[in-house]
Amino acid sequence: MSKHVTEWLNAYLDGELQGSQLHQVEAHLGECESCMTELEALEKLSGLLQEVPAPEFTSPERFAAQVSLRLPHEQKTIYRKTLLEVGWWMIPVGLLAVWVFMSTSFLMSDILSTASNFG
Amino acid sequence: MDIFSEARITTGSETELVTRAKNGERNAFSELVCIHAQGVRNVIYRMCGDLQIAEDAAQETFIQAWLHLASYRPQTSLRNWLYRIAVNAATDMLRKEKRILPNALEDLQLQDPQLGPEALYSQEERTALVQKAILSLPEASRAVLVLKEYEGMSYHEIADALDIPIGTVMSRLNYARKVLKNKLEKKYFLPVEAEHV
Repeated sequence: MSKHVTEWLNAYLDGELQGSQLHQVEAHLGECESCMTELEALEKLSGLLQEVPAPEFTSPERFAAQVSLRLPHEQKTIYRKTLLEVGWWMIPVGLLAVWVFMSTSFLMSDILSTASNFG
Repeated sequence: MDIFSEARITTGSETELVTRAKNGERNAFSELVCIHAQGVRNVIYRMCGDLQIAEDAAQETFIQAWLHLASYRPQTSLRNWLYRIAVNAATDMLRKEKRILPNALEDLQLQDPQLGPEALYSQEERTALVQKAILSLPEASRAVLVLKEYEGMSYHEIADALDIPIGTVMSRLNYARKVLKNKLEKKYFLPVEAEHV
């Protein structure tokens, strides 16, 4: 008889074995009563574990609402960072806008004063 | 539409929700909470056996996820990432609450074993015994067992979720099942382990 495969029985039960390892375990189980008994015990244990029912939780929507109430505002920091990044870009744009406004004002003022001189 | 198309759509929309949540959209994060609330609470409940602790630790899990969402890599499984946080939250909560009873199984009184296994315990008693046996496991082995037995995860997924090698998954699972089998054998639920010759 080949060597016992006790250490591989869990992986076999869970469908995690492949190839030659799988064939080796299957071949051994066909000829070894004690390993087969051990496998059946593992299967029975798995069945017993499934007998423990899942509890009745609150609905996911209600749970999500409870979580939402407790969520900190840390992610707002990321939002503020984004604003700050936009702010840095806005500084030269703002200065340029102010310069254009003032230049236009002076130009308009010059045009108006020249027009009143000729008028 | 085949099942794979549905899975792709689900994954796609989840990725989109994660992106929006990373940008600070709380509604998108709430949708993610709805999707994973059941799984996260189940894992924690199986870890601690207490409904209130499970609800509290699950809330803590999602708060931690929200705080550290920037560190989550979208190409990996969000479920596995959340389960890792959930297992840690359950462990922290249990240590804080100190409600776990490691040797609770020994507290239960056996009835007459000659009556046979089926007559010995009612369904509720069997459930209580099994649950207490699970709670008696070390936390590391219990986490692997819970993810395998109750979430049906593969060894690879468990390794990813708990950030441990697959070999460690196997050894912890073997250990957990061996301990449970020994404890429950004593209660006449399972055949006594055959002697290897």
